[in-house]
Amino acid sequence: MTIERTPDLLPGTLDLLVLKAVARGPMHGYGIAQHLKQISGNVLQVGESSLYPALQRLMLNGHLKPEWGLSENNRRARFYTLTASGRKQLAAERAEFDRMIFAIQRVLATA
Amino acid sequence: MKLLRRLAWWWNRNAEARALADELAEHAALKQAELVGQGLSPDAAARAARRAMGNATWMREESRAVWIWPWLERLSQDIRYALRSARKAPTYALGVIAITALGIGAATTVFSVVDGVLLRPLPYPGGERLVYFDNGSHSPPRFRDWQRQIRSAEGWAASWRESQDMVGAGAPQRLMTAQVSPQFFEVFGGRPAVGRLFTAGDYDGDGSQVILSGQFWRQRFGADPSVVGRRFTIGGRGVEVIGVLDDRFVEPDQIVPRPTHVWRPLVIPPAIATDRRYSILEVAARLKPGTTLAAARTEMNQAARELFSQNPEVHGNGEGQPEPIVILPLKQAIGSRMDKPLWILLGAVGLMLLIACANVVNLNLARSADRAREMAVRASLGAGRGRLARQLVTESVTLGLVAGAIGLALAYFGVRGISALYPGDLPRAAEIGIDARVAAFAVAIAILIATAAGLAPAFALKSRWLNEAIKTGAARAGRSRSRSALVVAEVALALMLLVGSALLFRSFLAIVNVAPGFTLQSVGVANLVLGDRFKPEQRIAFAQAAVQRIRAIPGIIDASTGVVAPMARFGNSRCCWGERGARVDGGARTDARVMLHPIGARYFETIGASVNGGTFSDEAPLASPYPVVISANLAAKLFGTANPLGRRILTGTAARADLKVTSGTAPAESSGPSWVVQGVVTGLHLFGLDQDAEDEVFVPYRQLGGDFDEIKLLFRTTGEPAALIPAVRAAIAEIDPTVPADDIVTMPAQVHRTLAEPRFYSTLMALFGLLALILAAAGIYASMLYVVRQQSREMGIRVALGAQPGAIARMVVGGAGRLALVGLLIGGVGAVALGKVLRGLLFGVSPLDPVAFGTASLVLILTALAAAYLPARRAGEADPLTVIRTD
Repeated sequence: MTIERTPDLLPGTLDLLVLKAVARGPMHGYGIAQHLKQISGNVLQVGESSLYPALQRLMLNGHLKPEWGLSENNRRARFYTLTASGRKQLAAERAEFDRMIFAIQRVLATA
Repeated sequence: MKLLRRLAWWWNRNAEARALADELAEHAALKQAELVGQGLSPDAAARAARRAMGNATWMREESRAVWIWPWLERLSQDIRYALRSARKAPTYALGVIAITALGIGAATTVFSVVDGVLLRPLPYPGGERLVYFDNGSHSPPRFRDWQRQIRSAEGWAASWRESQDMVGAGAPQRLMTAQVSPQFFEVFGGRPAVGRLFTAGDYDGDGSQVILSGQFWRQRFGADPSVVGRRFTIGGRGVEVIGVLDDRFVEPDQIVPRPTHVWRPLVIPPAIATDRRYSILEVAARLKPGTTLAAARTEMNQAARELFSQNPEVHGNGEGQPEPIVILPLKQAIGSRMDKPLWILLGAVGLMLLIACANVVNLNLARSADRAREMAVRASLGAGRGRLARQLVTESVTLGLVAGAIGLALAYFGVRGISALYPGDLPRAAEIGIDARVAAFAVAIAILIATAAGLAPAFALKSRWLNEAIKTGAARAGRSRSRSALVVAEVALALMLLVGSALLFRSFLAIVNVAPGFTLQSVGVANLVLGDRFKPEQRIAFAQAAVQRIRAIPGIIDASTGVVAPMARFGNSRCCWGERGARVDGGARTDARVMLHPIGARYFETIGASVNGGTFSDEAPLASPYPVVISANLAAKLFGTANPLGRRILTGTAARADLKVTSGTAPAESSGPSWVVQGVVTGLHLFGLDQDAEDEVFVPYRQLGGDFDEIKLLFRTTGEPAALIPAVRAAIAEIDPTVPADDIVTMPAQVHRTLAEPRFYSTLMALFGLLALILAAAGIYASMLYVVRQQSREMGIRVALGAQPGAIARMVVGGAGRLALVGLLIGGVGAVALGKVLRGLLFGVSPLDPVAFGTASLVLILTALAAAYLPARRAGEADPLTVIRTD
């Protein structure tokens, strides 16, 4: 099973970004996409076609918990909250990501 | 957890799909609002939002794939499709299921017996380290010394099995008892359900504490827990119940009788504690962990020599050599009697399974040709060859699993049938049954057959062939060669099975037709046991009184007594004295074993055996030389063609002691009795129709009969002996009502018992042979039917061109006949090989018996022609117009 990602995103980072976004508080899918776009200064464009499967996967793994609430235009929307296991996963993925970036930078820094 | 969430999702899958759809719609709405906020017209914004959302279906599927393994989904799709297509072709589906289920049912039945009897580990702690001390039973002093000398064993179990009468708790009953050594229940893992097992103290006394088996406790004492402390009499000795054995305990076959009703501590009477002649103990031991069988055997050889040097009397073989100590894994010892026949049956059922498999392959090939167009359409719609193959295999396996389930159910009844058919003492009978292991076997076989049968047409899926199929709408008559090969294979396999069952059946007939050397009709026998409470003189008195009373019954012409009766089974009973060697006083000798059978007067007259010379009476005073009748075998060995009547002979020690005198050594024991030959009995098969006569000496019952607790009362009637059984029973009860007289049978019934084993094997083989024949016939029929349908156009044209229907039918039948002939040739070679394997089970029939081969071939070829005839007739009756138009 392959989940396609937007090419400009480092492989495996979508879950991390989604978890990080949701860590601030309950958000719906659209909100997450907007948030990532704004915070990254329009660099990270998360396509809907990757976002929703990713959200489903995070639910399957128990990292996110869905709740129904009202969206900005007062309609029913699914809001995602980070679970305890999601919080742990976020920390773990973040540490792993930092390690990776550090390693890549060291490789690039050597002449 | 993850699995639970998956299941929860699956449970709510419709709600989940709606939730995702709602969510996506909301997303689109928000996006649209954002775009409108950026100044787009609502319509343009809606279009842009939809574009941004991409392919909604794809997203839904991706999200779904997160929750459900895609292969699982495809699988369930294939299975649903398989069931649908099975419903569309019910004849095909039912045929496949029936054939596979039959094969699996038979194979699983036999496997469950093989598994229970031969393969499964023994249900005892450290069962794989248990060894059995072979070469018959062993004397108490030998067992005592082994325990002292042999270091590689960590636990010892010996048992003295006897059948004894129970008196003092309701009606007298004959029980199987086992006296067991102190570690017995530790070695075999017995536990008490009520009360306790034996402790060291129980072995110090006279062995009057007993333990009941769970089954006997329920049958005889209604599972009364207060049975502990009950007293009754067994074998003339007062005993007290101290406990009941847990039901889960499995009696070790070969060591103790099955069922054993009562367990007693092994207390050897001082009189025989040091006597090497009393071989009464069955012995097993558990080797220390890490001791290999080879190492243990080495030690046994050393121990045998060492013990012989310490005590040549007890550990010698009577000829100045150490008696070897032979060990076998207990599992092997228990299964040994069944080992070869069971493997042969499993092999036979394996052949049958192959025929079934060939049939299913055949059906699948035919079906896939019928579906060529469907396959071609699916291929052209983009299904790859792999996908189509997977579909075919899934379809086949789906049917196979249904068949496997039915086969397992058949096996359940099959196992019960086999247990009922078998003469009562199938080893490890308690462990035979359908369990997870056997079920796994059935499922594995089902999947194996189905996969093979599903792959066969999958291999035939060639794109070139599919192209053609889509154009013409039907498969070309391709692959007829593989179908021919299948027919040939089926005939060959069926011939092997048929020859095998014909050989076993002929062998069974040969046994039945053996002249027994006495008259079977109008003879009855009462099998009695006079336990320890009878002294030898009392037994002799009982026998004489019983014979007199039975002779007085109207309708009975003659009666006699003996320790042995013709055709009596010898499982746990003692038939006679065995002695090594016999010789004519001052003449020829034999070193073979000689059996001394105590019998009463008129024994041979009662059973109707033919005796040259005379016999002996019950009245004349007894003194050495005692009058005896010898078997014709022994007479030939000792006297050749000379007249043996009136000559003196010696047996056993006396015969050998005499030899030693002549060779110059001091006689060890010279005062054995000597015998004078009164008569010679010819052609008497005492131990079974398939057993040759042994070297036998029939001695007066009054002289040696009292030593045996077994006693047979024989009677000869004017009419049907079965009608007089109640009168005989009453006569015995008049002498002593405490002697259980439940085992009184007619001689034909007694013979029937001895034939149980050959009957069992030949019945099963005949059954498999019949099934093989049916399967092969079905295979040929289906195959020919298919060929005829395939070639219907050709047939139609032939008919239109003037061919007679008879000629067409002959052509089809002839084709089938040629294939069958090739199959017969190949199968004949296989049958010769099979005959070699069967050799040990055959009696009076050569493994190459031409009658068996001829009959089997004839039956098979006739069946093949008949199976081909029906479709052939249909081909001959083809209406040319219809046939040509439909294509």
